[in-house]
Amino acid sequence: MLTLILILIPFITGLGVLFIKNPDLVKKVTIATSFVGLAFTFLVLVAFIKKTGNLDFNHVWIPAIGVDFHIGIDGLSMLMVLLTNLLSPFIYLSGLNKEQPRANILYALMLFMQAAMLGVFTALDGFLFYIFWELSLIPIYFIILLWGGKRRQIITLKFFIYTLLGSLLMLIAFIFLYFKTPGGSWELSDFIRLNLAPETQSVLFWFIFLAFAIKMPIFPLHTWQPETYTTAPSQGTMMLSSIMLKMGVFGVLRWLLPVLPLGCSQWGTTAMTLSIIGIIYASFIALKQNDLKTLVAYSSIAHVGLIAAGLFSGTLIALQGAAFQMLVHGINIVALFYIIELIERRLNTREISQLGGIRNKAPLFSAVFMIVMLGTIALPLTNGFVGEFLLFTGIIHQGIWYAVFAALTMVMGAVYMLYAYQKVMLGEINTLTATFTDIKGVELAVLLPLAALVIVLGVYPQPILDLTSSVMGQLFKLPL
Amino acid sequence: MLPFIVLAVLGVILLYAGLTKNNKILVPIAVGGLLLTLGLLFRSWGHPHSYYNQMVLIDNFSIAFNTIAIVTTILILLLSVYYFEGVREHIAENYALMVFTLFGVFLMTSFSNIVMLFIGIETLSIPLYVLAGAKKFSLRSNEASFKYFLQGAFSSAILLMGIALVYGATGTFDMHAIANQVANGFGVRPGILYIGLILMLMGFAFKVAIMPFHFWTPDVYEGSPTLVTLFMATVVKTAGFAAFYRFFQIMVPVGHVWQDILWVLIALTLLGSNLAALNQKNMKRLLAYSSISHSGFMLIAVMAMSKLSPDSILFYACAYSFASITIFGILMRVKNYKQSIGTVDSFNGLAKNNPFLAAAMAISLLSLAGIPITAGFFAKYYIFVTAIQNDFIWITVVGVVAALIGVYYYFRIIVAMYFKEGDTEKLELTPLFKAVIFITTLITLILGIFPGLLMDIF
Repeated sequence: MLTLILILIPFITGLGVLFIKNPDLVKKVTIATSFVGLAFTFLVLVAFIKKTGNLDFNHVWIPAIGVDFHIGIDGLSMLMVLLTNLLSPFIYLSGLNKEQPRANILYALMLFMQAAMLGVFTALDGFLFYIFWELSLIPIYFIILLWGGKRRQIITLKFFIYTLLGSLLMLIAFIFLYFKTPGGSWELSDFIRLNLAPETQSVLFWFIFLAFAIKMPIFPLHTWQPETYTTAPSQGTMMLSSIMLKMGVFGVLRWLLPVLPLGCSQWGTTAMTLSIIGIIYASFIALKQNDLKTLVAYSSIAHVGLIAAGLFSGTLIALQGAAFQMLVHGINIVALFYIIELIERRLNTREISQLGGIRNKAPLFSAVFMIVMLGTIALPLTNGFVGEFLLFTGIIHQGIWYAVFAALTMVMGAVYMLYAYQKVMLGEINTLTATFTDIKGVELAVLLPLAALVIVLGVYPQPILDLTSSVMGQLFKLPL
Repeated sequence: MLPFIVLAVLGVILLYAGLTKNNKILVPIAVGGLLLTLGLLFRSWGHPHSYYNQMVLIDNFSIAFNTIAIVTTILILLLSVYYFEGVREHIAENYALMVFTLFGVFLMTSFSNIVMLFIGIETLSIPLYVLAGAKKFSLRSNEASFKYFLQGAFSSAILLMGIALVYGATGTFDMHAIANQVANGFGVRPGILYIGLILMLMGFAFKVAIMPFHFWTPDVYEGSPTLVTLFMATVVKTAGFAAFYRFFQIMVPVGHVWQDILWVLIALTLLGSNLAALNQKNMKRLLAYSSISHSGFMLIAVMAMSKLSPDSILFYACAYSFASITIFGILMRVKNYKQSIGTVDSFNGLAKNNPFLAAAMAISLLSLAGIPITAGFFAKYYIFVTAIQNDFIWITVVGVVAALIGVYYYFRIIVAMYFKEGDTEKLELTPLFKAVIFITTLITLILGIFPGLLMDIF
C-alpha cells in the first residue's frame, strides 16, 4: 500500500497541477508535494529497514492475460525510489526564477514521468513493468517537443522511435517468457524460476538487452542521446540523465541478470566490450565539444558505460558498485546540468569558446562547480570515487585489459572536465562573462545540498551499500 | 433469423421513408432499427442456431462481430447527421445502401456454407460500389466507384472459382462437412483443394486489402465520400476478417498450404504499407495505407490460428473502428471548414483554438500507433501474443518494425496539430457531433486501461 501511495503522490499532483493557471503557483505546488513525496520516501525507507510496513501491493488487473498490478520494494528498488524522489525536488526547484510558458502542462508532464519511473522501479509483474516503461516515454517526448531547443521535432521523434524499438523487442521477449511459465504468469519470481535452455536464453538476451542498451545508452546504440540531451529543456535533460537512464541499468539488474543468467554469462564479455568501447569513444568526442551540454551528455555515456561494464563482470563487488554509482551519477549529473543551466540563463550561451574567468565574478559558484566536477572525475573522498573503485575492482576479475581500458574513463574524464572547468571558470574574464552574478537564494538551495552529498557519500557510503547488498547477493548466487 | 429479417426490412423502410422528403426522420428510423436488430441478436447469445438448412449459423462469434458492426454503423449514422447537413438528395438511398451492406456483413460473419459466404460478400460489395460513387458529380468519386467495381468483380470471380474448386475437391458446400473431410486426412485429389484455397485466399485478400491485392484501396478511399470511406475502413474490414477467420479456421490441417503464403503477404503488407504511408500528404490516402497496415496486423491472427485468434481479431477491429470514427469525423469537420481535399497541413495549429478536437484526434492517433493506455496498444499486444503462442516469433518482429514506422506518420499529424502554425478558428460543433467524438475517444481510453472488458468473449 505504501508503495502505491509513492506512485500516486506525483501522479495526482500532476493531474491537479494541470488546472492551475498561475505558473508560479504551479511550481510551488509541485515543489511542495515533491518534498512531501521525499519525506514519505524516508518513511518507506524506515519501514523497509525495520521490515514493518506493507510495501507489497498486488491486485488483479487483466485476468484474461494473467496480468496483475503487482508492485513492491526490495533493496534495489528502494535505492531507485530514493534516487527518483530525492532528485525530483531539486529538478523542480531548478525551474524557479525562469520564464516557462504553459508551466502547468510542463510540470504535469514531469510529474507523470516521475510517477511512471517510480512504477518502473517497483513493478514486479513483467507486463506492468513494460507499461510503466512506455508510459515514462510519452511525457518526455512532449516535454522536448514543446519546450526544447533547435530541431526538436525531429530529434525527439528519433529518440521516441529508437526507444520504442527497444521496448517492443523487450515486449516480445516478455510475451515469450510468459508462455514458457507454467500456467502463464508475468510475475518476476516466475520468470526467474524458468531456467530456459542456453540457446533460448542466448537469443532472448539480445531482445531484452537491446531495450536497456538503447536506454543507457551503450555504444553503438547511443546516437540518439547527445542531440536529445542538448535540445531538451534543462529540466527534461535532468530527468533523462539522472533518472531515466538508470531505468536501463535497473532493468538489467532486475529483469535480465536474474532471468537469463546463462545468456548473460555467454554474452557478458560482448556487452562489456561494447560498453568499454563506448567509454573511450564518448570520452574522446567529449573533448572536442564546444557546447557544455553536449559535453556533459557524452561524459554521461562514458560514465554509464563503466556502470554497464561492471554489470556484466560477474562479481558481487561490481554489482554493488553499479548500484552505488547509479545514485552517484544521478546526483552529479543533476548538479552539472543545473550549473550549465545557470550559465545559460545569465549569459545566453553554452559555448565554451565564449566563456572564461567566471570564477572572478562568482567564487561561490565556482567552488560548488569544482566540488561537483571533482565528483564526476571520481577523485577520492568524492562519491564518484567509491562507485568507480568498486566497479574497477569487479571488472579486473574479467580480465586486466578490460579494467585498463575502462580506467581510461577516469583519465579522459579528468581531461575533458578539467579542460571545460579551466576554460569556463578560470582564465581571462571577457566582456560577456563580466556580467555574471554569483549564485544566491534558490540556486544555492539546489547546489549546496547536492555538493554536500558529493562529499558525504564519498566519505560515508556504507549505508547505501548495505541497502543493496542483500539484493546483489541474491543475484550473485546465480551461476554467472 | 429475426435480426436478418429486421435488417432487410429496415433497408426497404428507409428507401420508402426517403419518399417523404423529410430527411430528419431517417437517422432516428435507422438507429432505432439497428438497436432493435442488436437486441434481437443478443437473445441468441449462448444458443447457437442454424437456419436455412444449415447455411447460416448464428453463434457467439457472429453475434460479437455483428455487434461491433452495428455499433460502428450507429455511430457513423450519428456522424452522418452532420455530414449530410445541407444535402437534399439521396440521403435515404445512402442509408438504405449502408443497411444492405450491413446485411451482407451479417451473412459474412455467420455463414456455414461457402455459397452463403459468397452471397454475403456480394451483398456487401454491390451497395458499396454504388456508395463509393455517391457523389455523382465528382470525378474522383466516379473513378473510385468504377475502380472498386471492376477490381471487385474480378476478385469475386476468382473467389468464386476458388469456391468451385473446393466444392469439386470435397463434393460439398457445407462448412462442417468440408471441415470433417479436411481434418480426416484429405485423400484423393488434394491439389484441387489447395488451388481452390489459394484462389479463395486471393479473393479474401482483395476484400481486406492485403498487399499485393491492395491497389484499389488508396484510390477508392480517397475518391469516395468521407463517410463512405469511414464505413469501408471500419465495418467492411471487420466483416472481411470475420469471414476470413471463419473460413480458414477449418483449414488448419492443411495449414502448410496457406500459412507460409500468408506469412509473406503479411510481411509485405506491413512493411510496404507503412513505407508508402510515410510520403502521403492527403489524409484520406494516408488513412487508406494505414488501414492496409492494420489489415496486415489482423491477418497475423488469422495466420497463427491460435486459441486467442478470434478474441484478438475482435479486439483489434473494435479498437481500430473506434479510433477511425474519431479521426474521420474530425477530418470531415476540418475539411468542411477548409473547403479543401484534406491534407496533413489542414490540421496545422488545430490545438490552439480547438483543444477538444485536437486531444481526441491525438488520442485516436496514439491508439492507431499502438501506444499504451489506448485500446490500440492492447490490440497490437494481443496480436503479438496470438502469434507467439503458436511460435510465429519473427512475424512479430516485422510487426514491431512496421509499428515503429507507423509512429512516424501518426506523430507527424499530432505535431502538426500542436506545434505548427495554422489559421483554424474555433470550429462550431453540434452537440451530437461532440457526443460521438467524446464517446469514441472515451472507449479508446477505457479499453486501453481495462482491456479485460472485451477479452475472453469466446
